[in-house]
Amino acid sequence: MNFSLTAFQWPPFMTGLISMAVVLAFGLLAVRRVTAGVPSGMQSLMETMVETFQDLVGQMAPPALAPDLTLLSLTLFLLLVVANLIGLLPLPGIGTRWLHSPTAFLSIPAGLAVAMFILIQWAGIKYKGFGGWVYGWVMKPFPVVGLVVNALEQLVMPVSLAFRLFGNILAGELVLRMTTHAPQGIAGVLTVIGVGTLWLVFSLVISMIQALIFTILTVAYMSIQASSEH
Amino acid sequence: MSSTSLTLGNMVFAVVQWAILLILLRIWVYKPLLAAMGQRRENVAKQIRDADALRDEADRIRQEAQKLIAEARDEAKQIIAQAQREAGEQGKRIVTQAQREASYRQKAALEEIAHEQEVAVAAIRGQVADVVVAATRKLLARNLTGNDQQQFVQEILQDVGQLQ
Repeated sequence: MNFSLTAFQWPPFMTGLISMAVVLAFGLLAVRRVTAGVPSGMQSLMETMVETFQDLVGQMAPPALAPDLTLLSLTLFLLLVVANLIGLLPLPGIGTRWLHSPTAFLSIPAGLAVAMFILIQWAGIKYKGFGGWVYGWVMKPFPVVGLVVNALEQLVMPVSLAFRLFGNILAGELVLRMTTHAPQGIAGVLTVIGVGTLWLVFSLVISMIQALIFTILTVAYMSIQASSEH
Repeated sequence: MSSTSLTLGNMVFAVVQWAILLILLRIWVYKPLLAAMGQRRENVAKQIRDADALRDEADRIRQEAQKLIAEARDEAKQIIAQAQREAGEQGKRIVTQAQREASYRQKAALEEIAHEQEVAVAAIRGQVADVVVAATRKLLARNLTGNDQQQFVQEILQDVGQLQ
């Protein structure tokens, strides 16, 4: 693992833009003929997702934070689902080249995790006040010693968010590509069809679950920060 | 560069694409969608309210109608009772009047009969008196024998019989 201030990786940028475009297209399709009456299938699907996230966030977040956090987390979830799934699409005609998920590059989940970390601290400052937020960092659960505990806890949080997502998606893609390098002959065909298909289905599920986990954990951390009991 | 490399540009890009997507979705998708959902919720609430109001109104009208029917029934009963009472009274009045008229006519007829009788008796009396006078005159004019006397009485009696 190396860090670079100047370098830029183009594959996750391109697939990131595609993910954005797909989510945006899905959203626009959902509200193409938006109506308060009987909704179309797409509108219905989008409404269901909005309602699901409203419920989900409503159970955790303080009421004043819930509406904003709902849209924020739903957007994050949609973007991550598409980004995670993109890596499972083979590109026919380009030989062994596959599209890579943007989330299979550490920079993307790490960037998002840092943003989430900042948002989480912002929620803490907003709901406990700056003094309360500092007090929570330094004095809980024990005076001064709490700073060490909290620093560990708070810093581990974005790191675990980033690596969990990155690891799952990268592993999914690597194993799927490995199945295409099976030996020639009947055994190879069986490997590709059997193991490959099974792994593809597994990866599809993992992609969606990881997107949800990243989103839900962010909401949970923000809600915990925003509540004064912590 | 590998997928485990951390590049600042890509980290910033990740956040920026998420922020841009959030802004665009918020303007183009969430706003109209949430507005539609709120509108639908309002519509449903309004329809429920309207239905409640209509049901209350229907209840009120039904109670009113039942009251009206009950009143109409009472009124009908009263009208029938009154009609029966009036019919009975009128019947009695007619019978009484008929009886009174009948007795009046009977009395008038009896009076008329009595009057006619008197007239007839008076007439008979007058004629009997004439016959008696005539008979007396004849009696005085003749000297009567036993047979003659017999015959004479027979003639008088015949005269009287013709008078009847």
